[in-house]
Amino acid sequence: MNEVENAEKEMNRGFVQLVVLLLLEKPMYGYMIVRVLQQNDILVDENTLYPLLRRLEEKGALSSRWDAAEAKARKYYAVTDQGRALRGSLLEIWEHQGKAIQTLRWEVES
Amino acid sequence: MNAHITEFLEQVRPFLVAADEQDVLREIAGSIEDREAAMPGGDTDENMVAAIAAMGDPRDVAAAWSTGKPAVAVNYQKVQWLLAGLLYAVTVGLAATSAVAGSSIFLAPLFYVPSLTPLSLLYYLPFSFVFDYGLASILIQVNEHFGNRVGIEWALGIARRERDRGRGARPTTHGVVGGLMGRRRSADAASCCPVWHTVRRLAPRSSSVLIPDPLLRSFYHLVACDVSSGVRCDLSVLCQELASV
Repeated sequence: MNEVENAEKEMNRGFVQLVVLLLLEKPMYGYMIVRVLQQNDILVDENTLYPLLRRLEEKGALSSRWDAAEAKARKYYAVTDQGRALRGSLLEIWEHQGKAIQTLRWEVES
Repeated sequence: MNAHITEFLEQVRPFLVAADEQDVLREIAGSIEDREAAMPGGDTDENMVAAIAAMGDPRDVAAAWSTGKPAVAVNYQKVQWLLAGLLYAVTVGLAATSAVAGSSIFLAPLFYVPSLTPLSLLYYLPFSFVFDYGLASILIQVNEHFGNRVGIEWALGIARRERDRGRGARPTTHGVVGGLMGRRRSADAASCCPVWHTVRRLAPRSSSVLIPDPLLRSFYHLVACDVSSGVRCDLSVLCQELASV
């Protein structure tokens, strides 16, 4: 794995957490999230996404329920109020970092 | 549940440490089924095998899904206890024999039990467990460092490989112990381990047979190996030999 891929993986860690908190206003199961992310050109490994969902659930940011009504039992996740608060904080950090990068780029390029 | 998934989950389970283990396994199974369903052709045996292969090594899957941050790497907790238990079972057997026979026992390169009395056996056993737990940790780390993947099938695999070499019906002691020490080929035993080489040289000259063969064999069967040739020696003889080298 080259340095760019390493860095991308590191950067994705927080990014995917934020995206998941945004997506799960509507309840979804794991593989559905993977597909939606893929459709938006965000590649995420399942072995990264599922444990992330479980960690967020443990922290109270997500809630889950098993739905056995379909042929396959699926675990649906949805964001909680605590998750929305976390999402707000993460978005603030995201915007702050975005502005900082823009400023630095502008200084360097000018 | 599909037989391939069941088999995969059984490979994940020994390395999975999570409070809700069943829930995690069910979710892993669900994700495999969803991946398979999304493949061209849908629900076929080939797609199922491909979907499972795409998950990666069962051990890495277990590591990713395990929770908590204990001192021992989370996905090696079960294996460490199993290995420590195996080592301790051998130690207990040797210690009991030592207490009965009143002699020290040295089985190179992993086991040494001093001369014990029934009373000293009582305080020796708790301490030896601490030692065996540490030894298990070292064996795992050394093997992982040299690229051997450590697991329940690891010890069994060493025994199986030895048996399949065709040099007899049962695995040899030096092959199994060598495997535990991280060697890939038992034929290299003498060349890569000076202590082992010394023990091999000493064996024919050692007149101290500390444990009756049938009893020794039964201990070794605990770790699926055989002690058919020259691995017993008295520690004092070994020390003399080492001093003279």
